[in-house]
Amino acid sequence: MTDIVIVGAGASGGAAAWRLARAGFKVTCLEQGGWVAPDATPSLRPDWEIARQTTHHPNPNVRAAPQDYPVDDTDAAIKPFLYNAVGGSTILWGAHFPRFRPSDFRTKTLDGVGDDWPISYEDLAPYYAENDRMMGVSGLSGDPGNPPREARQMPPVPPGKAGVRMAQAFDRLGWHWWPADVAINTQPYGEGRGACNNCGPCDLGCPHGARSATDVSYWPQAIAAGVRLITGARVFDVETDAQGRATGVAWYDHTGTVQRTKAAVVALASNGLGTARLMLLSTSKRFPNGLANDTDLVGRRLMHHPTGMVTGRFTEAMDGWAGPFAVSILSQEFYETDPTHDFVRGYQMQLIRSDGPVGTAVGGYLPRVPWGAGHHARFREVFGHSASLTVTTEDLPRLENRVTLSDHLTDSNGIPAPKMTYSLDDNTKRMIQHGIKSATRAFAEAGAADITAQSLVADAGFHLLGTACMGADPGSSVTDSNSRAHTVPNLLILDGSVFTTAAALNPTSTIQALALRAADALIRDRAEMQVAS
Amino acid sequence: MSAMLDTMIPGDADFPAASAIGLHDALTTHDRFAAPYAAITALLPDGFDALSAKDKEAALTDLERQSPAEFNALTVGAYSLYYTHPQVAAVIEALTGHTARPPQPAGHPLEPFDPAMVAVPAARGPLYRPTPEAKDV
Repeated sequence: MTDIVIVGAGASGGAAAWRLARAGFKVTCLEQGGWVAPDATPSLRPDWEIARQTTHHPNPNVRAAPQDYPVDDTDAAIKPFLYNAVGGSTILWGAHFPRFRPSDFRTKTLDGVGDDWPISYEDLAPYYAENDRMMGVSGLSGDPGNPPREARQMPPVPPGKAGVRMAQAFDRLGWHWWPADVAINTQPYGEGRGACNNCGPCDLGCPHGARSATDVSYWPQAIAAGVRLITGARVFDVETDAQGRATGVAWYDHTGTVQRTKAAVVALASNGLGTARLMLLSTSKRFPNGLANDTDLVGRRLMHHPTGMVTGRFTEAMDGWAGPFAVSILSQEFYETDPTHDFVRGYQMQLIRSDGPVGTAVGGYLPRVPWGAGHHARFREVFGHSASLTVTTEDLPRLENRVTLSDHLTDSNGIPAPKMTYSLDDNTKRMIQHGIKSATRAFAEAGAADITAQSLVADAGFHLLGTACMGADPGSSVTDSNSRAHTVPNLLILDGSVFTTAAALNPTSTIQALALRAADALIRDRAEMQVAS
Repeated sequence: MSAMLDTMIPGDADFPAASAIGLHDALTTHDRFAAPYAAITALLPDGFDALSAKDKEAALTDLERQSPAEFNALTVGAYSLYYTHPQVAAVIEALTGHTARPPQPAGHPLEPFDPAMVAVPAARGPLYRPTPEAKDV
């Protein structure tokens, strides 16, 4: 019997495990993936760009690694990106680390859309700060787009040639921009973690530990504090007693043998897809439609950050293959609701660097370099000469966007795969079009020779949010403000599933701050916690 | 089969043709790319190698239209193996400065950030929207 079993060792699971173990909890964490050795990164190999297309592709359906589960995405306009390992999806992320703005927690009050969170930015601020210290953040104080806060641990990542060019363009347009907050060391920081050497493909891992991930930030300290971390453990059921209280979890070990872990508290930290899947799998007499699913909200309100992309090609070399690929500067000029727009809420523009030779030829930021007689001429024109602005929009929650269980796909243990059903609403489509016009204007101001736009990047499902939403009203939400299920008092949801709304910002720092806050609430309420007898 | 690959990736003054780096063998032996390569080559019209350059391009354009998924997979495989070949990487380094080695462990120089570059945006007042709870934290 353990005090708490956490399902998933990613961004939120690592943070909560560390916090709880340091408070004296006996913590067991089950992770279906394994450890990823820092020196196993493909960026040490000549075929690193082939790995990006195959074995290290962020889409589990393409990667198809033994520890992955498939995702039924036939009815989803945006495809899933995630990773199964100690560190979770922070193993392959770009490490953007913004905080949500205060207005993101009050969309209903301010704009009449979505729902208000049961907590505020101010409630989360101390947890953002604690999490920044653990992960290590590079950035710059003084951003007028966000409330004042503590100094970042390190100075910003330099923006690169294209970043300087675009910053000057934003200045001439009178638009907000600021160096991105990122969980990348620009100086040695953390236990055994070195400084970034500007290599580029952060998504393939970092042999220096400069790009933060929870396997190098939280997990060493969590294990030192006594957390028992079991890898190769695929959980398929949260077990409950007759009163509906969680009693533990059932899981397959790496040999396919069923194991059971009894716990006073169960915490789910498997992302907005995996957690909803597990809750829907965990049926019982008390919960015939899935764990804590009295309201039929488990799996619903799936939110991404629908992304448009605009790429400018410059006649001068921008050397965009150097530097953290996703990280430079950003603009939040159009972030808040503006009554002159034909949409509510807003978007952020992030400057992305460019690809290596394979990525350039295959296409992504720009269309594929055509095969045939003109192939090399086009490659010369575009390679290292471009930069891109993503238009990252706020996705408002809708019941029809949801995670269910696939009726035909299973993982290697025969467990039904999750199915994503997802489409964009008109507000989001209008927002993306506005963002494309804005980004196009910025590239024109910067002197781009030609500009190309994509109205929706399908391969952008890296933020999986909202499928077990937090709220004050048990009739219209799944968890309370402390991430505790309304109807299962000893069940915590720690990942992005609890997001009430999605904001238009990368969610990881908010996911982790919420996990730390949920852990603190559990520590505080431990004596009063209702657990199974 | 080299005729097909050379039609897709011909050589020029700097870059080698696909056949010059052994792309056929590399595709044939690759665990993920061999299947789409075989699928497309099986669909090539008889006498493809003897066609004119223009007719070869036309035949491949037809194939791309008829079998888009397989042709896409082949193109990804061909480009992936071509652009990671040492001979091609050396050409790119000579033309662009992009080093013909993996990104790690050497990386690229990390210049210091110049805080002066934010002078204009830093001079603006707060842009974030007040909420009922707003206060400095």
